[in-house]
Amino acid sequence: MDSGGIYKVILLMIFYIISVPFLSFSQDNSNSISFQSTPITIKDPISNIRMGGYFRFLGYVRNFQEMYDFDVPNYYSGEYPQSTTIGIGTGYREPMMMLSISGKANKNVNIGTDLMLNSPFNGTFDNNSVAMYLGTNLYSTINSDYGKFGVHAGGIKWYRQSKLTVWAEEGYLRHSLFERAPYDPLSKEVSERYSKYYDKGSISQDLRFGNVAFQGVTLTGSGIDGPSSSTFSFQSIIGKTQHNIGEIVSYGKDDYSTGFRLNNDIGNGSNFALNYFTSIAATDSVKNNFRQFSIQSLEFNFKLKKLRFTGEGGIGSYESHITEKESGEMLVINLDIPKEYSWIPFKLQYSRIAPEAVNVNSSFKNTSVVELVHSAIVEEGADATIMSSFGGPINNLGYLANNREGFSLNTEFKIGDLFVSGGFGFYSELERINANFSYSHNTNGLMLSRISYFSSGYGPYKQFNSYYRGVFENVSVSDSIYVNDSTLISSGYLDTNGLPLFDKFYCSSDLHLKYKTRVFGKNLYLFSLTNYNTAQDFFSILPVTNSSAFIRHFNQQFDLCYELNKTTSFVCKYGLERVLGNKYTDIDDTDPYPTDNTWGVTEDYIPSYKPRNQFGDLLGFGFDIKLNDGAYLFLRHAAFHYYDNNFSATNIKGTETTLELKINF
Amino acid sequence: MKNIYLYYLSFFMLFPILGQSQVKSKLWYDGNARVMYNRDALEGTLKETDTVSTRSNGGGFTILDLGFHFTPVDDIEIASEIRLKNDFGGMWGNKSVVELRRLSAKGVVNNKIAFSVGDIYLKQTKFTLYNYEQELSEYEPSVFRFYRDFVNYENYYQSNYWRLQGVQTNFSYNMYNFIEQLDFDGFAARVRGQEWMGKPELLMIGGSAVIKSSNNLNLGSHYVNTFEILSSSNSSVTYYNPVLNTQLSYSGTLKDKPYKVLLEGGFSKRGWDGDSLAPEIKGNFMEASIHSKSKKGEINLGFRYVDTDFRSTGAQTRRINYNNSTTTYPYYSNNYTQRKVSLIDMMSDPNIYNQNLSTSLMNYNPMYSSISPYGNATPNRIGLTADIDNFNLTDYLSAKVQTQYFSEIIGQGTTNKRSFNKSTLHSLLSLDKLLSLKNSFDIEGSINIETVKRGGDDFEKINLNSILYSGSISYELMKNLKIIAGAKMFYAEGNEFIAERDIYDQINDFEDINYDSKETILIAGIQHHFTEDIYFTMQYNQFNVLDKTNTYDEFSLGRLIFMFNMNL
Repeated sequence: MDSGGIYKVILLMIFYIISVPFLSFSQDNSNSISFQSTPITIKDPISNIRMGGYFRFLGYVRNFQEMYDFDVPNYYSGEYPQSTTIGIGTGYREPMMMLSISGKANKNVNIGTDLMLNSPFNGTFDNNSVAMYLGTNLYSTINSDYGKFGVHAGGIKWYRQSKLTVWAEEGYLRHSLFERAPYDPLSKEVSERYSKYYDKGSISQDLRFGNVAFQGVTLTGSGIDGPSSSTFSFQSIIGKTQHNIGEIVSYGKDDYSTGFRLNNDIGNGSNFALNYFTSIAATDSVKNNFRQFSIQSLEFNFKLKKLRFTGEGGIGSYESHITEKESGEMLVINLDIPKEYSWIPFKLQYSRIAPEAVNVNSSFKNTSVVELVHSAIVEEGADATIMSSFGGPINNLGYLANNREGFSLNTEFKIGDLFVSGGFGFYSELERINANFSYSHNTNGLMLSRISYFSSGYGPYKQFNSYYRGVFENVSVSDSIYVNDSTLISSGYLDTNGLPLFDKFYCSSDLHLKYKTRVFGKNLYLFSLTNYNTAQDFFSILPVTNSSAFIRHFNQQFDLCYELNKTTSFVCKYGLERVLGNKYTDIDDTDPYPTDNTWGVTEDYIPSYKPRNQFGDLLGFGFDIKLNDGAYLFLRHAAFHYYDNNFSATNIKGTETTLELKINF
Repeated sequence: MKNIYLYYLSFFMLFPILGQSQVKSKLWYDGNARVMYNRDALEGTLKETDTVSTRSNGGGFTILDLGFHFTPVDDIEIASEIRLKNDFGGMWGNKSVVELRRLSAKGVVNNKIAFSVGDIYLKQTKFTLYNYEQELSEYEPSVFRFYRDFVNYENYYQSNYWRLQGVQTNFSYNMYNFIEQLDFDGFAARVRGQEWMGKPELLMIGGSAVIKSSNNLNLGSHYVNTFEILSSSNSSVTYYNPVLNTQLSYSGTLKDKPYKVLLEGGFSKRGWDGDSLAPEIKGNFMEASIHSKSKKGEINLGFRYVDTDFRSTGAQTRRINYNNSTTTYPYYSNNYTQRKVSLIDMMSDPNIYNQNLSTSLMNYNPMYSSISPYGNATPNRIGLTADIDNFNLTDYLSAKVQTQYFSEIIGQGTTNKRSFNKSTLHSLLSLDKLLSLKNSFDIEGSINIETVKRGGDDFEKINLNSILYSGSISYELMKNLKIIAGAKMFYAEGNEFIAERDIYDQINDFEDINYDSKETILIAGIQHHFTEDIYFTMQYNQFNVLDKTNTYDEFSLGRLIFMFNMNL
């Protein structure tokens, strides 16, 4: 800037300073528009934006009394480094404060979004974060003479279509209430969570329950007149589900899902619906390679006299650049028999889902297409995690899988104050694909999953695979077995290529008891949940109780809730888990720490040459304290132990105390 | 030492704000939300011949720009805008951002002095500080508006204001004699902040004084200076570019027809202190126009002269930066050819646009705009303009017409001068009115013709013709839901000499470029408007770019696009 410029600046400044005190303005009386270099306003205000959400502080102290040694090559080898952990938050991407923002642009257009505010409270003040929690959604409705239509865009939207197309299976809602999820709603009364579960068999759930996360465009329509006084409705999506975000090749490449449902409501609680769903993903950078699966189905829901038939049937297909398109049948039929026909009500289910029918967004698990098993991706704030194979999942009752045909029977009735709910099911595999099984831990799954978040192959035998709030293990059937400590003979279960020479059969059973009584004038709720599931190579209607089953998985959980007063409940849980593998499954024949001499452990590892023999137990208690409307304090203390008698390095024992303060606003 | 004055200036401008005390805040909101998804796929022969590029590419985002406005006291408002964005395909926190998009405060002190501070939008005159529209955007059929809205919004283009960071104040002085009103306006903006061991800080200051008289005669004087602060870096060279513009306007009526006459002129100076090689150039300009309005339409006639050496950072900065890489297929073909910015990018890609003032003349592509690449402030132009706006031929047919004829003031590299012609026509036919239909049914068409000619010997001859045909049709299927289709066809043929300039904007050389291009844009889909600014559209677009002068492959692209735009 030259000296002339400086003088101009000074003159401008002096003029400004001198003129301001002496100026006499009367802007209000002026009819002229003043010149100004900025616009008068950029936007108009709106007042209809609302904010809500919750604050949730969760602190925990965890102490491992027993823990397996830690061996990560080139990183650390030795005793588990942190037997005591003091933490804030569960370690998952869960908000400490969730701020929900919603607005109305006009009477038919809405917007909603949410923010996640977190602080580790670790004394450094520099890891606080503000981020989007789930996403931003735009909603609109269009009312017309033809019906009511809706357009939604953005995400995450929690979406479901039909059980075989897009659905997150809820099972028969048999579970323990002791552990709390961050999104569990607060109840009006302190013991409402338990009383509701006792009375209605269900608890208030977050919006996401039973739904699949979806991003994209959703079009819906309802109230469209059809023939014979029936009405049509439809819903459709185009975008990405939570399984289309792996970005296997690179960001921006094709990985989309499309779905459509046309429903005809014919009245009397009956309806029929046509469904279509497809997902396609490019698997190379140019998109010469791809994989795609599709489902076409018909849903039905009608009554014959007092018998209600519900279900869905259709055809599913899978293809890729290396696999010719193959199609297979899918059929799930439910028959509800009311107690008028039998002294207790029954629900019968027949299901048959061919191995060619694949869908990772539906209520059934994919067990047949390995490529898709590997795309079961969980993305948590950062890059995707590719999880290893699930094998043949040994599911709890009510959870279906493809490549299976089976039958289940369920019932629920009340004897006095005792609710009895239970059932059993048996399934057989339709096609021999692999010789693997998998099972999830019920009692200690949450604890074990938080040792290593979203990881595959951790643990002393690299047996754990963690997902959100859970852990599963894979089990293989061996091609040979030991007859003594050194002699191996063929098991006869695998051919020379490692493919199975046997058929898989699965059995599952539940027994859920709920009892309410009053002790010292206060409500006491008792819950008992028993799951017993097996996998074997022969047909059985009931779960197998001897070692002829490859895997026997038993789980028992007792829950107790005692209403101390109107604002405080005492809660307690005892869980017991047993997993037994037979001699044809993986055995302990390998030192899990073959290089242990490098870190000072001198004792030799002595393999047991025996299969799984796992114990898990958890004893916990706590208090639910209502501080005010929409403000709760949850205290929990639990002792847990998970060990394997035959795989001796598996021994995890500890305690955890948590304090959760949750306030809605 | 010099910038101490500026600190004083800033302090005194901000002083009224500092004197305010905090009381209970009132809070209100505004905002904008947009969802956009697109999937681009190669088409045509390129799909067969290009075996390297991906067949398709998709993306998108959901954006919520939430504006918070606090009014701690009457007449003072603190505004911030937070952007919440998550990309299509990012879930559970991945590919999502929360960022500050705007922070400012504004108010009126003692009901007299208005001020703004922070992120502010500034505009002065067309020769001092003005953000001109991007080329070929005039008279665009309305079905393409959603792209234009998106591009302009993402680049903070609000009308013709530049978004700058600084302070601004204005106040008026009303009188009751010959002079009715005196308006004063001043601002100081930080165009480029301090860079460690880099360039000096670049500031822009401006001031206006406008006198409004009782006999409809207005006199305004506007001043802008863009300059670097020497002591803010270890450089010994600093840039400066003061521009002064004086305007005289008169409004009156003739036979009951209102008219307005505007005369304006001014000068600029541009140079680099401390650089003996840098020239100091001075230029001036003059413009005269008359504007009249009747029931049938509005007419505007003008004359403009802009000196060769006229330089104005605030008015000559262009929106499109041809050096930026395109978002859609930046490279294509087996030769990995870099794709040049073309009409499809100008229409739909916010990333090729520029948000910062430039101290040198930015490149432009004469194929798309030759006559006024830097708007009215384009140097080395003398000529006439005429346009008719809102020309209502019948109740169902309206039109807009514009024509311009300009010539260079001095020849570039030769004594012969270029002559420029531009003619533009836009018409709207409302078939629903013509045919008495219940639902709206509009057809729009526009044509934009531009020619550049220079005579002389063969080595210096220029003959460049470009033409853009645009058209659209929209039919209302049901209330507010329209089926739409549109097309743009652009042709350019001929030759032009592109000036190669050094760091001082002096021409070193010319590159003779031949043009023989054809570009096509086709769109079709549906669009539903809830209000003027709240709408969604789903479309299929097809783009084609063919440059016959080189061996590059024809570029063909199909695009599926969804956009939901919402002004809160």
